[in-house]
Amino acid sequence: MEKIADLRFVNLGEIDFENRQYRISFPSDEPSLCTILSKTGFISPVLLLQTKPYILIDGFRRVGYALDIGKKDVPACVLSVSPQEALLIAIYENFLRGLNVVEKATAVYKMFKLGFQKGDILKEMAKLGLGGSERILDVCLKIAKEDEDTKSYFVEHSLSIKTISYFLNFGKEEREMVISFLKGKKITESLLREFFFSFSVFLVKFGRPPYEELKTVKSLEEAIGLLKKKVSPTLSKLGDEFTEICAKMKLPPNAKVRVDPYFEKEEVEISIEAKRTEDIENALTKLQSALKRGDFHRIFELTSGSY
Amino acid sequence: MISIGSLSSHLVVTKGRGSVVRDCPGTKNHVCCGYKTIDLIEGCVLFCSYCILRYYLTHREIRVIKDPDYVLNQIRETITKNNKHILRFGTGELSDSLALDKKYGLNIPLIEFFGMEKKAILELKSKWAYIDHLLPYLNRYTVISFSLAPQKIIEKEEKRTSPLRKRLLTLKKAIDIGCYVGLHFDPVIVYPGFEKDYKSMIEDIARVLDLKKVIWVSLGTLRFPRELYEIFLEEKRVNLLHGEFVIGEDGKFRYLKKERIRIYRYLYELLKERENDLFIYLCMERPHVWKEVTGEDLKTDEDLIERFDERIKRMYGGSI
Repeated sequence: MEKIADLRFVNLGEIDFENRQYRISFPSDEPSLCTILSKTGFISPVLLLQTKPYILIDGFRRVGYALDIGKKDVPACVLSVSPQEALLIAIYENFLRGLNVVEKATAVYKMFKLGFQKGDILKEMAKLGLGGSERILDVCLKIAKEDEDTKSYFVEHSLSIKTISYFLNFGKEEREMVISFLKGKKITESLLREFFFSFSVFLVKFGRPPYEELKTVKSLEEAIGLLKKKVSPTLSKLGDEFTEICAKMKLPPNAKVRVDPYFEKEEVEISIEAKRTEDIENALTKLQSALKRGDFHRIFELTSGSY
Repeated sequence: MISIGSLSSHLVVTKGRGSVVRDCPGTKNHVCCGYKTIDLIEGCVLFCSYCILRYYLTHREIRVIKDPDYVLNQIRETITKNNKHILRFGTGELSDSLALDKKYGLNIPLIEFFGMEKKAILELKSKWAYIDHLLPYLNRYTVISFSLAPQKIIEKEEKRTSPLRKRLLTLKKAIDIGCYVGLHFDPVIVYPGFEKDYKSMIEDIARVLDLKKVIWVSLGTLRFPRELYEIFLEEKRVNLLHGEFVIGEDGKFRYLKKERIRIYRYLYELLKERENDLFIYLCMERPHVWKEVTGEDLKTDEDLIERFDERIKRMYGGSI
C-alpha cells in the first residue's frame, strides 16, 4: 500500500468531526483515555485523510478530548490514501489495542458499505480472527446494525460471534424474555451459548418461547437441563432409566458403568479403579449381583435401540 | 478458467486437476457401500434446504470440469486397479447429476464410456427430472436414480427440484428404454404424519414403475453437521427439526437410533410388501441397525460391497 504521510499540527477547525465513516471503537465514550491524556498530553498524532475538510481516520477520542479542553490544534499525520485504504488503516490501528466483537463487526460492516469485494472482506475477517465464512460475514452485518443497548450487552458479557448469532435469531418478544430471564443469573460464555441453542431449538419445535417453562427456574444450568428434556424427551428418558439402573447396582465409588450419552454405541464400558484386592472383590460382587438381576440386560436394551 | 452463460457470476468451467474420482467418504463404525464418486461438478443450483453442500463447499460458485479425457482416464485407472468388485460410480456427490446436464452435456462421454467398457456402472443421481437429451446415448450400464420424498417435503425443502410425479415419470422413461433405475429415500425426514405420506408415495412408485427394474433402493435418515443445525435454526426449518437428534460417531446429528430403526423398518417392510426381490440398503448405518432392520449380519464394508456385486451379477447376467 503506497501512501503519502505528512506530519504536522492541524487546526481543529479544519477537521470534520461529524464524519465517522472510519470510526470503529465501541463503546464510543471511554473516560480512561481522557485521564491518560490529561497526564501525558498528546504523544501520538491522530490520523487524517487528505480531504477538505480533513476526515478523521484514527484518534476520535483524542480529538474529542482536545476540543473539551479548548485546544486549537492537534498533532496529525495527514494521509493521501484511498477511502478503502483509510478504512483498513483505521481497522488495523484499532486492532493493535485489541478489538471487541462489536468493533470487529463494525469493521466488517464498514468494509461492506465502502464497496469492498466479498472475497477481500472474508480475507480481512480472517486476519481479525473472525474466520472466513460468509455466514459469519452475515452475522457481523447484523451485529453492526443492532441498537446501542444490545451491542453493549454483547460487549459487557464478552459474547462470541457464535453465541450472538443465536441471539440475533430471536424476535423482539424472545429477546426481551431472554434478557429478563438472564438478569441476576451467573453467566458464562459456554453456558449462555448452550442456553441460546436449546432455547432456539425449543422455539422452532414448539413455535413459541418457553415462557411458562422458565418461570420458576433459578439458574442457567437448570434452564438448559429443562429445555433439553423438553426438546429431547426420549433421550432424557433413556438417560434417566440408565441412571436409575446404575443407582440400583449400588456400586462402590471405584467402579463405574458408562454408556454413550447419545445411546448410539452399543457398547457398555465397565471400569474398576483399585488400590487393594478387596476393592476389586467388592466391585465384582456388586457387578455380579447386577448381572444376575438382569441390570446389564436392561442397559443393553437401552443401548441397542431395540427396546 | 473461464466464466460463461447467464450464471456467469456463479459458474466457472475448469480443466481437470487432481483427483476427480474418489472413494465415497465412509464413517467409522458405519457400513459403507464402497461407492466411487466422480466430481464433475462442485456446487448445485437446486439449493435443497438440508443439503450438506451448504456447509461443505466453501465457495458459492458452481465449478464444472469440462475435460472428458482427464476424467475418463481416472475412471479407467480406478476400474483397472479394483478388479475384485464391480465398481459403482456416481456424479451426484458434490452436485446433482442432471440439473445442469442439459446445458453442458457432461454425462454423455461418461455414459458412452461405461456402455463401451461394460465393466462398471455409472449412476446418475438426481432430483432434476430431465433425461431427454441423454436418450440417444443411454445404455444399461447407466442407472438413472432419483432421490424421492413426499411432495409435501419437496415443496418445502427441495423447492427448486422436480415434483415427485415428474421424477417417477422420468424413471419410467429410463426403464422403457432399457435402463435400470435406483431409488433413494435419502434423506428420510420425520414430521407428524410422515408415515402416511411415505406409504402413499411408495404406492405411487409401485403404480408407475416396474419394481423388477429397480436395481437398488437406499434408505438414509436426515443427518447433518452442527453448522447446518445452526442454519436450520436460523431458517426455522420446522420439518427438519421435528425429531430428536443425537450426535453420531461421525460428529453429525441424526435421529435417535431407536427412531431410525423404527423408520427404516417401516419403509423396509412397505417396500418389501410391494416387491420382495428389491435390493434395499441402508446408507451409512451401524451394523447393529442393519441387523435390527433387515436381519442381515453385516460386519464390514466388504460384506455390503459383496452383496452389491451379487445384485449386479443377478441383474446383468454375464454381460458385465
